[in-house]
Amino acid sequence: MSRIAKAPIALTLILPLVACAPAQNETALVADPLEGVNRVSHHINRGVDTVVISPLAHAFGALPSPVETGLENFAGNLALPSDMVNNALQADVEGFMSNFGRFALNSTLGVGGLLDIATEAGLDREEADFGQTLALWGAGEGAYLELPLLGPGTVRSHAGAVIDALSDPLNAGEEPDTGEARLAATGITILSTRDEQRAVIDRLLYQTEDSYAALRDTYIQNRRAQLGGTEARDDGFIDLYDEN
Amino acid sequence: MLRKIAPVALISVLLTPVQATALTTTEAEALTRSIVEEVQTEVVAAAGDPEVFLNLMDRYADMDAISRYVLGAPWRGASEAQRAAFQTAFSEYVAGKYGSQFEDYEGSSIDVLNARDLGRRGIVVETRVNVPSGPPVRVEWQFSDRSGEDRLVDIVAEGVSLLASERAAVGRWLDQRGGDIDDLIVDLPALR
Repeated sequence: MSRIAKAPIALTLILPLVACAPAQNETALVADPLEGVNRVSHHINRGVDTVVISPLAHAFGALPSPVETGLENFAGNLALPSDMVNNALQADVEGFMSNFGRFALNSTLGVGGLLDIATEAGLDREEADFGQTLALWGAGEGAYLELPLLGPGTVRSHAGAVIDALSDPLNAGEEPDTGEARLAATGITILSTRDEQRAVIDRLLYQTEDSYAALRDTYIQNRRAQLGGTEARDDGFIDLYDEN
Repeated sequence: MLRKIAPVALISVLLTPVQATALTTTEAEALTRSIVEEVQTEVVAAAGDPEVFLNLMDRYADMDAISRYVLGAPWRGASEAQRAAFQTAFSEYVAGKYGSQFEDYEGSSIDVLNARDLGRRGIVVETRVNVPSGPPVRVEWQFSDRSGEDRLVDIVAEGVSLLASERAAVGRWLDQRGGDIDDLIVDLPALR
């Protein structure tokens, strides 16, 4: 345990150091001082996608639709406790209550999360992660960081993901079953997302001359838009006629 | 010569009613609807023929300003001929890259949700593309009238801006060619 617990602390120490690195040129969208290492990770990730994730996602997409939906609901339900931890840390009462109601309803009447009756009852999932919490607390984004198997991110988002895994109530319990179920849920979500976004991901990974840069530039804009809400999104719009 | 014209020009600018030319949120929503309709009918019917998409871009988007922004600082040092050639090459690139992507959205419907006035940066129309195979996609359309005409200036899908992405990509490709704009112009239409 103690060895695992040190990982996020180490990452937190790196965070301010990497956050200071400047962007390479005026049109770069994110600081990428770790590009060399990132490209090695990207090479690995692309290979894993080609050989494992993409074919499995095809198989997942070929499942009968009710089975697919049931698995997606099950996986989404098990992500809620971690969402709630971050809703609480972000003092998002509304999001917490929605996720709490959702978890309670779908875990019981929804047969262990296989059915999503909460959405019909108006209880939407309010996704939250610790990277987002760190952003809200004022931690800098840090450098772009693509990690083997974990994929694209920033120093902040990956540090957040480590803390999310360690603080997930389903991993912390005495019952090993809940941790295994949570891991399976993550796998289901990866396959489901890969299948649903096949056109976009295939184009980024296999139909661009530099898939590393294409993924990086797409990821970072999408993540920033997710973090900021409408206000930050409005700030992000370019003034085409003031730029020289 | 210029001195004689300047006061006349100034007066005519002052006399032009602002409301008559300023783009409204309602007009921006209407523009979005007509673009979407043309894409759904003509572009899809043309089955990825880049000419049809090129023509659509020319009529709705400010390709002049977009090309200038995408090339960035090197635009200033470029000759008139280089600028024109870059704009042509960039338009062909965009048509080739995005024109064929609409088949991914077969069976989708699009809802115009709202329009926000961002002042000098123009008006942003928010739409939701309902994709049959997955969650809906939020697409925002940014319009501006600052060129003197009501023009589309950017399309942002789930936070990913076409302008920002292509500016970053063009910057990389130019760096790879040692900043040689002519080399980039030759290669650009086929790049992805």
